[in-house]
Amino acid sequence: MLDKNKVLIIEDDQDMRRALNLRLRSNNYETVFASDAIMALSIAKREMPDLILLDLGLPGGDGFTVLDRLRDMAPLACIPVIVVSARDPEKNKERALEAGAAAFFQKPVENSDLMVAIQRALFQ
Amino acid sequence: MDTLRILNVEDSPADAILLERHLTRAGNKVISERVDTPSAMRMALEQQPWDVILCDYNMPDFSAQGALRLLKESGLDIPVIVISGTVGEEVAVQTMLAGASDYLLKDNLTRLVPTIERELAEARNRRARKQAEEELRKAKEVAEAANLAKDRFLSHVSHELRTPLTVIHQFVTLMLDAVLGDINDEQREGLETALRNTLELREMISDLLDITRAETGILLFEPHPVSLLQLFVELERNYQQTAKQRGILFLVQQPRSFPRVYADPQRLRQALSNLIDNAFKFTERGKISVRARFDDRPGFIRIAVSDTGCGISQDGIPLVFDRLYQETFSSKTNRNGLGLGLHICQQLVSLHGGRIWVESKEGQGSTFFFTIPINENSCPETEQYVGQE
Repeated sequence: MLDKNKVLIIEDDQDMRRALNLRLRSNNYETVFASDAIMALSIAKREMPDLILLDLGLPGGDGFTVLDRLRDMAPLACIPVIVVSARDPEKNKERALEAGAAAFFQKPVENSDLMVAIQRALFQ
Repeated sequence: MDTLRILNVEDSPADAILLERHLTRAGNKVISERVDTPSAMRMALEQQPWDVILCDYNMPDFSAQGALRLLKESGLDIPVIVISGTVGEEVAVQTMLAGASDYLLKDNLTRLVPTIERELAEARNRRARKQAEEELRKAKEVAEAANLAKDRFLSHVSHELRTPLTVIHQFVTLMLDAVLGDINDEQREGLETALRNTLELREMISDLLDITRAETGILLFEPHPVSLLQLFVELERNYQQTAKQRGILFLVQQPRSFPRVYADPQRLRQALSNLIDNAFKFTERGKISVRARFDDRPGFIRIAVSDTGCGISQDGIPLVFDRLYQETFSSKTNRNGLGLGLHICQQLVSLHGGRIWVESKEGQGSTFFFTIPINENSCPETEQYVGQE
């Protein structure tokens, strides 16, 4: 069997982490977690995930900061990032895409859309 | 008349007394001070509130022009009546232009008292008007601040509501997709009901935020040429399943031969979706159709969304686009949402420079029409933020 793709879930809400974990595992992904902006970067470096799901409102720093830092760190720069946030897409979607995110979803996200976006980002 | 406070800009003590006597003889109580240099005048202005300034035209160390300039610099609003021994129309005009209220001759002071009375009345009016303007400005500021606070609050609330809603949505779908174990039919039905309501709540939160955006002017509007055909194909695909589930015929007439419309695709889709959602909400059976044709007004396309639903009462028709308006429907329809959908539609359409209206017969159905420009010239402005001026 092929290696499972590893997804890093950066999300401060524990319930949401648990839900995304169940959803991704049932879709045959391996999952790792970070719950704040500071841990996010070191965990990303250690785990080298294939894809990152990123919340924007995080303790210890904004999700945009995490995105910028990820883009600046050579080994992490090419990992696709999908932003999943409760924030207004009107103000944040374009900014996220310009900062290098592969997609932006507003919570509550439609699971099928999210799964398609993950697949697309992984195989691009 | 109350005590008159007169500042006499006058080098001659005798002339100053003469003027004062004129006023007291007319029955006024007068407090006055005589100054004849810029520094003395400046000090006098700082020390006392004056009702009127009587100013000699020519003085050895000062002039009426200088006094007027000095008063202007002080920012005070005090009428100045220039009094001179010489006549000269040109001089009079110049003095008036420099800000004097009137110009009198020393040897004909009969006009002095009426002139002062008139100037005092006018000054009172000016002050009252200024005060009213100031109060209005303050009230407006307070209202604007309150509005901004309300919008911030709404925006915050809708953000905060999303987080728990997302978790509920996630777990309901996890259970529905049997990720957490097999479920029986009854459980499925229960979860599907929960899911449907979750999505309704999500729409309401979106509407709440949209209305806040439109009204605070942060709704970004970027029109460009858009293919109506593509949009219609997309809509047909999106609603076909709902139509099938509800046993309603959903028809989209493909506008193949149409020019592109000049619109913000996201806003146009939103307006159309709102109308179609509404149609589904109020239609039990029959059909819902979407069509487009050229409008009677040149340069515009007219799009129509028709349903065979419950329709709108004649009284309700003029009100449907009002914010928070709700039709009272038969007891079968138990929920109507926030009453923002059509109001948002109207805002989106007028953003494009189009208009929106409805034709409806109670019990037979409704048709919502709106127009959208074909090219840039008919569209109000490219790339603008709407909302408050």
